[in-house]
Amino acid sequence: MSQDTDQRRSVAELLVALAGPAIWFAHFGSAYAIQGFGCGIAADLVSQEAAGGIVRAGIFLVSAISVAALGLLILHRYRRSTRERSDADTQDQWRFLHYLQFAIAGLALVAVMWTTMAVLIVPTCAPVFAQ
Amino acid sequence: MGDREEPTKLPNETPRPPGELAELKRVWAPPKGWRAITAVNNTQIGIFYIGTAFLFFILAGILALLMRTQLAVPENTFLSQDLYNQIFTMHGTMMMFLFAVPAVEAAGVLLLPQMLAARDLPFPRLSAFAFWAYFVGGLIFFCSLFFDLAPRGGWFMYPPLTSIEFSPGDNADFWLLGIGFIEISAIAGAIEIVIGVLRTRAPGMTLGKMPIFAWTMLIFAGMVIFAFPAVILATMLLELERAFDWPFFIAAKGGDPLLWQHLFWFFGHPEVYIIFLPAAGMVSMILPTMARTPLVGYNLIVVALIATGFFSFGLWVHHMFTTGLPALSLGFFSAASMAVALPSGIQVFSWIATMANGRIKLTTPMLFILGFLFIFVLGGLTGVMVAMVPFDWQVHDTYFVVAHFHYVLVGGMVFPFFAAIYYWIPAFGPRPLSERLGKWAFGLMFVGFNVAFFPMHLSGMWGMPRRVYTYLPEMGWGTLNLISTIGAFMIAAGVAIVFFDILRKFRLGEEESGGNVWGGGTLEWLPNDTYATRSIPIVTSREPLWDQPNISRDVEEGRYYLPGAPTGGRETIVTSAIEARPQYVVQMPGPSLPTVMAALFTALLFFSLTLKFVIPAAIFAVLAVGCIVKWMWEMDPGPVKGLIDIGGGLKLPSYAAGPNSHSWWAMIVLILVASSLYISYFFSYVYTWTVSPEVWADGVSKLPPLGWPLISGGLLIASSALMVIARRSLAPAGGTRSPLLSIALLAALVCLTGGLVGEITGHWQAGLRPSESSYGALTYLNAFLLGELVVALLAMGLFALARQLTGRLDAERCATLVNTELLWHFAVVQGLFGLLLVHGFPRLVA
Repeated sequence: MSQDTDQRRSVAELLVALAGPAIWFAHFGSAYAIQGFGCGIAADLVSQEAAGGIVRAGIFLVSAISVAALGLLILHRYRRSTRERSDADTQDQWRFLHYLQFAIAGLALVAVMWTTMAVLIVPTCAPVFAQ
Repeated sequence: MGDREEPTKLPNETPRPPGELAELKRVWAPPKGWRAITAVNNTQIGIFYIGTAFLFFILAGILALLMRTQLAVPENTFLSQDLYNQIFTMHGTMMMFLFAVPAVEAAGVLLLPQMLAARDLPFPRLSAFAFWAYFVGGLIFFCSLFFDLAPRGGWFMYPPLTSIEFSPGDNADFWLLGIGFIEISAIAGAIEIVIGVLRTRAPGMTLGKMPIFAWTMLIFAGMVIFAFPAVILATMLLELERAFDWPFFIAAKGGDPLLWQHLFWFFGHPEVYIIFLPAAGMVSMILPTMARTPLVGYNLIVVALIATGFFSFGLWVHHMFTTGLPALSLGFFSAASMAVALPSGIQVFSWIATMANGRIKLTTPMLFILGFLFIFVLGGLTGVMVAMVPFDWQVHDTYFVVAHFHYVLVGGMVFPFFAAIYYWIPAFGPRPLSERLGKWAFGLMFVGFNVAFFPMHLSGMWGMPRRVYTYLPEMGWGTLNLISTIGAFMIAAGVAIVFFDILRKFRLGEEESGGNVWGGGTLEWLPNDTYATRSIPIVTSREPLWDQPNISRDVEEGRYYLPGAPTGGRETIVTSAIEARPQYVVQMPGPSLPTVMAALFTALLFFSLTLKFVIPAAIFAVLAVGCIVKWMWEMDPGPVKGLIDIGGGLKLPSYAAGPNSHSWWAMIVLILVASSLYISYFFSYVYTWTVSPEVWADGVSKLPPLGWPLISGGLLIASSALMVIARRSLAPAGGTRSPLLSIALLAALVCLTGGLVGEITGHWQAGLRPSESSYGALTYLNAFLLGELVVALLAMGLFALARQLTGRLDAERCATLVNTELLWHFAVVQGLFGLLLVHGFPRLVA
């Protein structure tokens, strides 16, 4: 393998390894932003209850997208790892990296679902001290 | 050949040619006498760095004793209220910024090249610059205490308490400029560590065979790169507000004090893990040696470390549970705060399993690790308690929180750090520290810590607030405080024993190290010197010294790669990021006085700015730039040494530029730092708009006509295009230089500057002033951030031009220009995005 191809593959594999937590972070940031904007702006245009509904729907949407993206990533990496387990030509370093990609994405999936649970049990746009 | 076996055929034959080892020693000889300050090698700089961090630990510890003495009894008058405020601010600030982060970074600088079998980190002068900047800046900062100039606002310096109205004078500025400066030094070290870990590992040391400490340092450095810019931006905003009345945090002008808290804690919470992860890495290195068995769950630990690094960025609001944020926001952050316990738990269980799997020897390092496990787990449990919003409301700003974070930070960082001192001293000094004194020190520190801090859980729950300089006897906190004070002095006695033993046993620059006294399995236990190992081994497992029994002898006899100094100077092997395949030999610079002077003048520049001495500041700025130019002039040597035979028939180039080069990778990391700074700005802009949309609505009337941003944008794009032309005009090596390169470079500089000037002029002519509202301040801040990049690029562009004119730039020797071009394109992209934001967003929301 030439140095350039080697370098490109290395960078690509490292980026995939970071994809799981990056999706979690994007989900977390989006959920926080939707809540911030939604409760701040939508509440000026519609009732607070309706704004809460919009925010809730928005967060569920980004959660669904994140879960789907992480699910696909996990499935893809799982299939690859299973294939590599029986493939003598796959070198250790790639096996290790693919395991990392799979496991980190799995942990990110748990974190996304855990964080989303807050939407199910906490009132959406209510100021905290008013409760 | 199995993966864990010793290579049967080694790259080099023995005996090695006479004089080869002597040449290696000559090339890497540390400077003597007063010139020792010009040293750049990791074994010297690393030890200076750790020594300085330890010094600040002791100084900050003395401040803690002063506080504990004051609080020992009710209504004490040992310290005045004002001095107490300065002391608690300095204690927290120094422990976090001058001890904890530099200490783990220093451990990385010292240990990583040895663990990875590199001769040094890839940018030794950058390490030296980072150290001296920290050393001088830290001392100046500490000395502010003696002139009644120390900050008083607490280590997190919340406005409005720290705004000019409530904190007049220079005290707060010492924190803002001093700590801002030291953070820049930390970022420089982090860039060095990322490239060192990814590109200078021993051949065969794939990511899966890398020592856990190297993983933790890689993640540490990544977190520094993304977290520190947020607090750098915050300090910039508060200093601009204090000095020039740009109202970022003044509510009456559309600002918001909570913006500071968001930016500070976006840095501040990851900071806890920035400190903890390398310490956890130390534990994962020491524990297997002490248990004589490989670490259980290596792969899972790596997963846990990466996950912790990421999740720690989603926890910052749990420091702001009482600020009145909406309930759902609190819910998200509460959930994330609990989720981070999962990867931390994986590590703790792996350590317990490793202990169960082996036979533990109760040496001093092991005792400190057991102390760490006990204390850190308790701190983690109270952490889960304060992650619950209702409980946090009850104990917020009380001594319960003081107890919690000391259990986390002292348990999670100080105890592993002391374990590391005892464990690694024989690798760098002539003999190990005393086991008998070590056990006394551990006993005093462990018992003293629990005596000092456990009662604080109770005093906190009984209502004692943080940061009070005294209390009334009827509050009933007297006994608990007295017990805490006794514990604090016990800790001090333990630390004093360690300090005494280090003074007694450790000598810098001794040729012979104590050797592998613990029977460690990783490469830092190979026979080593200032050049690290005689030859660079091929690694086939995670514990090469356990699995390759002859490795120490073969390395020492020069049978592996690069057994001499074939370029006649300092060098090491650069390998690929994942597979660690040798790619080229990097020629490294030696001792440098200009590097030290550059750090000194930069520190003095910040000091002068703090005291508003404008003319001295300008002089120091010129001197600092001059020293940096002198230092950099010797770099980018080009492929003058041709192909280098490193052994085993492997001939590597002695130079690389572009995406294969380690310096190109460093520039990418620097761009990530700049991106992170800009993302923090973007967050601040949008956040402030959500708080004060009416100020933005007023601002639309002061937007310049669209012609202004179009001209600025056009100039920025033109400058990028001209840089591409300049690079394409590079003459072939030894060919005739084209004047087109110089012309294109100069034109690019003019266009870039023109784009910036156009943006500022447009707003000024439209009547907008930065001090009139948060909208004006944030609009000009966008230009300010672009301006910083433009100033850096002006210096880099003129430097490249000078190298072109003196024949030091051609199509092969082009790293200077290629790296400048990379940053240039980033600056243009940031500039264009900024134009879209400050000209488009207000129109959109209007």
